[in-house]
Amino acid sequence: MTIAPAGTVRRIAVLAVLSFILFRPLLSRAQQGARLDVFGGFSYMRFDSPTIGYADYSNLYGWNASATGYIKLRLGVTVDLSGHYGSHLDVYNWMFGPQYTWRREKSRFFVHGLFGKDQTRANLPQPTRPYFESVGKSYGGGGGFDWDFSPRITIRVVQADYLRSDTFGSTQNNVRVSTGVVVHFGHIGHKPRL
Amino acid sequence: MKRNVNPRTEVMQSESISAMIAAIAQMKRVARLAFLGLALAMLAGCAASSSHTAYLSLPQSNAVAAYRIKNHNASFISIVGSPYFAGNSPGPLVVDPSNKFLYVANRNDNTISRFKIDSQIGSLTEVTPRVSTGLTPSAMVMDSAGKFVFVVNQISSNLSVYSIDSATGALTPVAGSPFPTTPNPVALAVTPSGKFLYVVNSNLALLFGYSVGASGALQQISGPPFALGSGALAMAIDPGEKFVYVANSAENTVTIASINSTTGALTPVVGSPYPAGTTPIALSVSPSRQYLYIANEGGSDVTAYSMDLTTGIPTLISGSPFSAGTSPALIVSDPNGQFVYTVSQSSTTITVLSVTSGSGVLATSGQSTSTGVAAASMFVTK
Repeated sequence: MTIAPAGTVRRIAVLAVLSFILFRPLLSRAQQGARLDVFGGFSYMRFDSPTIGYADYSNLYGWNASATGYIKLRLGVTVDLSGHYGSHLDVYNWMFGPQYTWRREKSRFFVHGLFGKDQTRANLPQPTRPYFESVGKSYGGGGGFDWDFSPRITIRVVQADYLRSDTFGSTQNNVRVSTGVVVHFGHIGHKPRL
Repeated sequence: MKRNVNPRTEVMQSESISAMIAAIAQMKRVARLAFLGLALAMLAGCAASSSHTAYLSLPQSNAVAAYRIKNHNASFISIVGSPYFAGNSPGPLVVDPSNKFLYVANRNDNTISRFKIDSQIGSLTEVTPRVSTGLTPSAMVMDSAGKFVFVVNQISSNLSVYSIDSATGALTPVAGSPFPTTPNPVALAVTPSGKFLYVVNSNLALLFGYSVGASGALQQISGPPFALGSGALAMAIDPGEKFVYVANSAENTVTIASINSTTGALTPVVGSPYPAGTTPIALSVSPSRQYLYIANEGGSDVTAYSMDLTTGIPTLISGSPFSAGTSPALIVSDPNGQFVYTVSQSSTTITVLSVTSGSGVLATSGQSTSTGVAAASMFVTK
């Protein structure tokens, strides 16, 4: 009887674990999902700054984070936070809303509506104040596409949102695009057959 | 030493590696998609809009209002943070040719505030300290090269001249400033080249001319002052530096004089003065030099003339006078020549009139915006 060396066994074990991680989502019949998705990543916003007197639209870069708790397999509630920064301009959004998710093998598509607040700060130093700030309503919606890297880790390939905000006495029509990583917690629905 | 390897183990290894390679390839495709999406969004964000800015002094608010004007329809959008605080009762204002600095004369402070203009936004930030003027600076102009600022001080009856530091925008009084003039001067204008300066004295109904030296020093032009009509309050100079226009508010006329390019002496154009509407109080020459627009505060309209650029003789444009909102007190031609703006102090409104190309006919554009309080002066940048 031939016995495989210990190093080979270790390699096989590692590969088996990786294979399991990689192929497990393919085996899923999408009858199960996470109870909670937590997303964090890089984000870009095209801010409608001509509405507040800027010569051009502002390209802002920053972060986007969200948590989606699922009350049904496909239906959840999302809390979405983002911060974007650019020349003389900082924009923060605090929003929440319903999210609907379709799962198919390793992919998932989602759409959501978002409602909340927008805080826009124009960093234009004056002798009496360092910036001008306005807080107003923010609302909109969008969707995205996630790709499962593992049962717990998903890559958010792209999330695109249209966000309307009311600040500085005018209405802005903004576009936000985000990408990053989603971590799943808990289970909802039937367990998949392996 | 020969190693024994289980064939089944080899197959498993091979399958796992293949799976990993496939997964990595898929991740690359996904990353490409993400990058493409972000790139498209960023490209969309780069789309530029074409616009320029306008600034209005608001004496009652001790502030300067800033607006962005869209080139295609002349709609006004208040710039974030506007209005920006200035001194006490800001009045006349000018912007340097590079659009880096704005100067506004504070009539009750007897100072000039210098503002730095943000190149991207058009917002203002005051740079202190303020510079002293004479008593009650009532009018201010700048030569087209942005070398000097000229201020007429109504109560102290003199002219302050400042040189401009092109880098910092700082103003420094030139040697000999302030220069004396006759009592109660109300308006002034400088030729675009900065060669000659003219000052209106309303009480005397006279126009005084000065030559401007290389250092900014003023020297009164020899010969008698030029006679104006009654109630002369506003003046404009032809961008081609050939003619001077003065609105005589008490006799509802406009005086037109030709400029001697060597001496600066003025000669009335044949037929001058020409009729205007009721209480002409402000005037503006189109950038093309072809049209002269006179705001008639009493008539709430604008008298429009087409100019003969050789003789200076005006021809009333068909349809003139044109309706221009309530009691226009200021009138400014847009640098692109497509629009004329009138400002009403009583209704605190900017009214936008569109200019018909080729004829100079004015029409209501439908655009207007509120200034909130009465504006004393308006400047539109290129």
